[in-house]
Amino acid sequence: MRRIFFGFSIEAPWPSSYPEGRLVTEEVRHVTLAFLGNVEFAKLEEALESIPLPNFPIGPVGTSDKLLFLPEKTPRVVAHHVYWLSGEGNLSTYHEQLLGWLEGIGYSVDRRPLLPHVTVARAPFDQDEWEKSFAPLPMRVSGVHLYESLGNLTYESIWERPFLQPFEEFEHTADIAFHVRGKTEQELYVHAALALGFHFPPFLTFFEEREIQDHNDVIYALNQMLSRCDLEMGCPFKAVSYHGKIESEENLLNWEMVVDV
Amino acid sequence: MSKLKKIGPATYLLEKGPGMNVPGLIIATEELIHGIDFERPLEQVKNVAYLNGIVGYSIAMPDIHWGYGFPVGGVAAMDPETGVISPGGVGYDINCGVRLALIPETLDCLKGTQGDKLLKRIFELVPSGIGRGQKKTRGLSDRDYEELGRKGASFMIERGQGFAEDLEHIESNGLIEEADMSLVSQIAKERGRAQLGSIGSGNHFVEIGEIEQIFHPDVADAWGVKQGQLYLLIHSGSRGFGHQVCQDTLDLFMRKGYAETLPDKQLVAAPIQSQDGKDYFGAMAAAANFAFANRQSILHEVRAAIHDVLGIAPEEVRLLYDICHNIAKFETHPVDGKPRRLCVHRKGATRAFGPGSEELSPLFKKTGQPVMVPGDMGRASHLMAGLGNPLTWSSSCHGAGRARSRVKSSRTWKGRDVLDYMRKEEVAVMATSKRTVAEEMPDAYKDVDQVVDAVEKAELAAKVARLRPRLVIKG
Repeated sequence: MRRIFFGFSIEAPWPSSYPEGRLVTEEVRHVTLAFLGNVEFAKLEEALESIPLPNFPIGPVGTSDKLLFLPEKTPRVVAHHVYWLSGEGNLSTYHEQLLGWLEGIGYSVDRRPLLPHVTVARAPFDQDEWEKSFAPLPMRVSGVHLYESLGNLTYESIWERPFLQPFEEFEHTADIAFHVRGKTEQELYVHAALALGFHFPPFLTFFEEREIQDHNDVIYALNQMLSRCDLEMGCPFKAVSYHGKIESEENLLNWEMVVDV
Repeated sequence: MSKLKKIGPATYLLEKGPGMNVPGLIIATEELIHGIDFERPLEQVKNVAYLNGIVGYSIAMPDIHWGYGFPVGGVAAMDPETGVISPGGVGYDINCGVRLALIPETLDCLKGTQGDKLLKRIFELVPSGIGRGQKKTRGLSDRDYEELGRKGASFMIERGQGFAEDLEHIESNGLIEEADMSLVSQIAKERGRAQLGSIGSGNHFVEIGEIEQIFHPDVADAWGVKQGQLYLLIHSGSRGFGHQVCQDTLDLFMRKGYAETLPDKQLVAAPIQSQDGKDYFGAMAAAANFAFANRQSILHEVRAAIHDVLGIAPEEVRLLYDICHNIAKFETHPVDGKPRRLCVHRKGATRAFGPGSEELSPLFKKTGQPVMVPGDMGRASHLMAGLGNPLTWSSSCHGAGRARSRVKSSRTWKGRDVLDYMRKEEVAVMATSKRTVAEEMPDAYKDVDQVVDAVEKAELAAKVARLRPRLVIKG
């Protein structure tokens, strides 16, 4: 028997130091989708051939907007709550599909609404210290995984389906640059903001959900964020340039974003 | 690789292709051409040649590297009647530039703990790093701003930050005429208000070092540059103020459709004679004057630090020259043997007027203007004298040019103590961010000695002295 659960792997620019607590290693931080408990793995492994796969190519992105201490009455876990900026609808639909599939192959699942959170530490911890140290972080879902819990906060991914990344940094000689992907210009805006947030997390505090019509809107909106950020706290990015066209490939938009630093 | 034809020492022609209004002209040695990925910057040289009214060549300096729109190290001159003015051809950091001052002391005065004390004092007095500015300038009123736009560097001098003699040692006397502060957005003013008198982040710096070698004794003597003497080098620009001016204009030009026929939208440009073109020039000039005032203020604070630690009077720290390397200016140059007024864009390139140039002060009219070429914080920088080469509209390079991206440099130095490494190289560095130092390590740059050799071979400027950094403040 193996202790098994499904989850989304989460990437974030995690801080280098934390208050006291037993930390979950960065590489296996996740949002749990379905906890199966101790199961016969061979049976599940066989069924994996028919698992529904997400029908969205790019992993959802979001920010951690607050810390959660769970369970509320006697907290044993510190977690980042995830506020989804893109792909929330996809994610809920997929969660439903996954639970339905698990029930269909004979597993009982928790049908409560998903509380998206990423556990970072377990007790003992000082709640006040964690509250004080909290700063919002950008997050992206890098894949759907089947994890095995090995005890003592150790998890191992035993099956995975990675998502396309919403952005990837590439080398630019003088400045910084990213390949940004999205299904629409609206998504490009969110993913570009996330890309910059991964470099400088406070940047995302200036993010505004706004309607984006075209590529120029994307650049204009990002530069507005950047100006406000520079004015209020100083910003390592000086401008998002108009260099780089949007190209369409396999129903996805790709943009080479060059940012003056 | 695009085909280049050698037409002179360290000078190559990039033939005119479809869409290009003029050919490209590349100043470089073979070593430099093969030393970095040259194809992407060359593509940008070609793109610049699409701009309306471009005269002569789309020019690349030997420190050329991939930018956006224009390459970094690009020069383009436009006919003022038929040509365009491109905010991307000036760059976001309008009038980013370098100023060099001479300190009447030798390295001996930095022995023991004096060097560290001076570094610490400069770090205290000159804000550096992301968003950090001078507290004393946060109270600039709109009236102050209007005056700053009209006066440039002298705005600071009138407030006790420097000396009247400094002005003769600044390109265009520290003032671009036709600045119009009313064309600058409120947000640009707000960003500038908090940042005037600060160096910023990225590749900006304050550096003190030693004049290591003299190549041209006559010119060095005329300028009062002596081997073994200390120098001060400042690299900064118009901070958030200039960035916002550029961004506001790019947004406006994009909305008005000026980019439609261009291969790269960042080249977006309005006719010089249009109201939009004129308005950009007025706002750009205001930002350029902000940058002159910014560098003047930084020099003032460094002079104060030198006085506090070394007891040298501020007036003894003599400004040699201040040059712009992100700018568009109206200048007169010979075209087909006749003088012609042109709008010269220099994006990561420096003016290099030669002996006899009418715009220079009597001292520099004899020798050619000083051209400072910052290298990297470990190896060297160079001081050169402009030769006024008409082929490049009297322009030269602005630095060593990056050879390695920030990402790669950061990765290379990850986990290593960069400050300790630099100290072993006999350079003491203080910085707000160690990441910035890692991105700016010497091996991220081309070898500046190779770059200035190309400049000299192509007869853009002549080497006067090699400068060796010892104390460096980074953002």
